[in-house]
Amino acid sequence: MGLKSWFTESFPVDTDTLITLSSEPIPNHLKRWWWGLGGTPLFMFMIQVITGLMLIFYYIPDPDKAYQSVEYITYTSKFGWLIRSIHRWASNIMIAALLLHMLRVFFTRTYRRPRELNWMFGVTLLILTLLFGFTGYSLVYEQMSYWAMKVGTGIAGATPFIGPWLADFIRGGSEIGQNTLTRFFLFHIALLPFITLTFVGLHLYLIRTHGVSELKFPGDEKSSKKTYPLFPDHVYTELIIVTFILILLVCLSLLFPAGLGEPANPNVTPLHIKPEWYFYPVFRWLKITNLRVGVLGPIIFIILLYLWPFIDRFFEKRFPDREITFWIGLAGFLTIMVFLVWEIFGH
Amino acid sequence: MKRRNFIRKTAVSLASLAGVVAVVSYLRQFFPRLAGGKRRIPLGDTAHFPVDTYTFLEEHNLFVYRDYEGVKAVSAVCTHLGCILEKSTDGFECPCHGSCYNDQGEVLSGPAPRDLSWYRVSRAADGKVVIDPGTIVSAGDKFLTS
Repeated sequence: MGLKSWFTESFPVDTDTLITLSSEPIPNHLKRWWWGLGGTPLFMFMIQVITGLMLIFYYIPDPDKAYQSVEYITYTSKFGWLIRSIHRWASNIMIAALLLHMLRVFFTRTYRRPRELNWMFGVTLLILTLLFGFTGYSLVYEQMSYWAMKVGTGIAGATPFIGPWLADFIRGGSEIGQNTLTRFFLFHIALLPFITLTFVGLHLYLIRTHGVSELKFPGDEKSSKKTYPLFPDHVYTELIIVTFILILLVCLSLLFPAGLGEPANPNVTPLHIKPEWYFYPVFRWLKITNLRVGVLGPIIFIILLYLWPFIDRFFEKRFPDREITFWIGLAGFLTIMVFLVWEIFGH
Repeated sequence: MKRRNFIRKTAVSLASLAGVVAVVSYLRQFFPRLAGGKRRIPLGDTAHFPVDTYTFLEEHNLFVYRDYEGVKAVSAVCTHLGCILEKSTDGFECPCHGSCYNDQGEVLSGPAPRDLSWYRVSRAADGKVVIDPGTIVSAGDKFLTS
């Protein structure tokens, strides 16, 4: 018995079904590369899993040793600086690509019926990715990490009704310490990846079930075919994006490698401390509002984001001739951008 | 209701109740026992603190102020989200979200929801001067040394 026939007998998978599954016809507008941005966060997630696993070989989740272990990874272990830098930059690109993907979905209104639930899964994936970022840079246990944990758990503690319970659960006590670091490590390497993979699976399953929403662009009428196969045509497009991002990732890691700040000091808050860029709008919001409004604002924003497909439908029925939802969305987006730029240049 | 159905429903109800109790008990595992009350902080010889100055006690996150009458202690933790305050020329400033307090610990500006806490300074039974972070006093309350 040949090896091929032995394998086919042992692993009886119908190759015709596999070809049919992978050659799903998809609309022509996906030939434009920016429509492939939904795959980029997934690719970044894979890079994070691989580089993250490599970092765990040396990382020690102990308040007395965490900083030194990151220092060892960065300055002593072979290629540790590169792996850590790629991990750090990939997280930034993942969040940026996810935001761009969401903006594209938002402004092309492809979240409408029957895709409301998939939009909600997408919002959940955005929140999970932000939590990855937050727990990830907290693990370094430098000054920014410690005070990010302090402020982050403080915000959780100010959440209406469940605040104190939530803060104690995240911290594993009343103060930041060993329990907190252990929990953040567990969230970062086990709980969040598990939940994220579940939601990615659900997201992809619903895309496959509903099919990709069809949009018309000038020039699309000329083509007699309305669709083209996912494999290999669209996979080529994705591969081109992936190649470009890999080059960008390595260049960024070489030119701006991940550094290390001062070790965490629970008794001294550094002057003009700031979180990562993706939390700048919330950070600025917290500066200009009182605590209750500061915490309720982002919660209400997230609820509105979840319910947006239904809000959109409500406005469409009420004012069918006006593109109110577009203008609300644009106003919301510009407000976030103003807060972002304000925090970059403001004191 | 038939006896068979009654027994079945009772058994399912009891098993469900036992399951809920087990899960709730298990969830408590995620909430470790919190440390007991705040311990008193010995100040030592108060004469060592410079006069008319707020001295930062780094280990305890509080400022001790001494004048010719006595000493008093104020929390150095911002009431907004818990960052440690910096002493400014005429009060305290938070490096995180910019809340400002005056020398009396009253909020002047920024998102801080309430004034800073002043703690009782007293002489303990063993004769040592101590700060009691568990007892809040007014800003004017001080331990008289003169």
